[in-house]
Amino acid sequence: MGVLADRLDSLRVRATARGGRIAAELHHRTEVSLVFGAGSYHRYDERLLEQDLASLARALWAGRMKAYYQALSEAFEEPVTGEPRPVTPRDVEYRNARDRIVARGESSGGHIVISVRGMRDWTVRIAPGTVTALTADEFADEAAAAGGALVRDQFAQIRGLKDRIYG
Amino acid sequence: MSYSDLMGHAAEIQRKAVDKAIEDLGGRRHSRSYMSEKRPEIEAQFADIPALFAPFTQIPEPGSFDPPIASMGRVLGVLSSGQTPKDPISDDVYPANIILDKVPGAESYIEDWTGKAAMDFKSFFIDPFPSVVSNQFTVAAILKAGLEAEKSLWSGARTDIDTIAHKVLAALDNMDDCGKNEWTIGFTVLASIAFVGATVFTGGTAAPIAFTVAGGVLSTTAAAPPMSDPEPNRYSGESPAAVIAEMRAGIGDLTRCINEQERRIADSISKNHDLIAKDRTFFVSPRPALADATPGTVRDGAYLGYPT
Repeated sequence: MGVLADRLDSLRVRATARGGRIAAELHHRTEVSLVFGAGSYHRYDERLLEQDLASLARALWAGRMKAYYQALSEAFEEPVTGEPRPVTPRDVEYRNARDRIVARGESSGGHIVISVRGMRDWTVRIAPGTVTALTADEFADEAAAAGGALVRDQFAQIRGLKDRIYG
Repeated sequence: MSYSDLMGHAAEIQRKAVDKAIEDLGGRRHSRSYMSEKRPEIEAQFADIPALFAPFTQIPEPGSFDPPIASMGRVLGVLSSGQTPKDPISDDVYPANIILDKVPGAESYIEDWTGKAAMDFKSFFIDPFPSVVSNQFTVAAILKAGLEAEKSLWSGARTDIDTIAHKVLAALDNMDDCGKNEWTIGFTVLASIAFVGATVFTGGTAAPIAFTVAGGVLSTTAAAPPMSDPEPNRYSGESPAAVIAEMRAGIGDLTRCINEQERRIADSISKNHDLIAKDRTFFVSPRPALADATPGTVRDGAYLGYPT
């Protein structure tokens, strides 16, 4: 394993929502874990959870990109703070197509679906009655599974897009 | 990782490129019959990698230039004369060698010596001696700068080939991520040598003779501003084959930079050699006619002559 690969594997990014009512972590590139603060789960309804999970996801990915650029800076021994400007027509095509990618992750029980367009516009859908039907731990596992599936879907689509445009 | 493990880096790049290419096959990589043909094909695609790095393990050791550089420093010390003698390239000041002062001082010892040999000795040896020594001092400084340029060049070459290996390994790790997989390399060999023009003396010619001297950046910073950093080369690749193709291009770019810098050093030394050969009397005192005298001719007018 290379230095950068090791570094990306070991990235751990954390974020919280609503003053610590929910805490989430992105680790091992595509794994997500989630935990509710004591007694906070049952204060939620589905709509409020959708909003908080979406803002958690947004914060996690922003934190991930910041840590990723820091890892790139160390690996390439030059400051990397963002993406290079598109230079060739293929770069422009790639950037435009990537911004249209819709990645999606669904929990195994089907209660939670998370989707994102261009890794910017996040949407979370929670089936009605889920908060009553699931315990806090069960919900956290379902949400984490949906989040992990989304990240894997994003990377799979990126690989396909790169093969199509640059391959 | 470092230059001393360059072939280790090459092996790691090769292994990673093969692994990534196999990973990109998706589910097909689990088929034994498919892989029995595909794996050798992929391995052949990256088989040249160690051989591309191998020549760079044979490049000169920069430290091997230190003894001759020190030796030329001692030569400068021996040839140092006049007031505040300064290396025209590095600006280093050498203490004047007081032994050299004895030659012009010899004039008073031979006041009673007359004849052609005496007059020639004064005209062609004692009088021009300070200038000849000064010119030899400059030539020694040029040779020392040439050696320092070589040291700087090969030190930069080691850094640059190691940088290529590091960045290619990082690029192989990064190509599956969301952004464009691009990396840059600013070849240090391009900035390793500074050239300055030094007008050293006019001699008997109408126009000054301009010496072009080459020196490592560290030794010429006082004589010329450091060269600005060259624009870095950009590389990018989104697949193992593309990243390795860019690595091959990068190694080619580095090789061209090294050859270009070597040519500049060689041109500089060669140009100076031509100037010295053309005006040899500025650098070497003429051979005394007495050296060709025989016992039968030594007292002739063309040699010792007769006392007046």
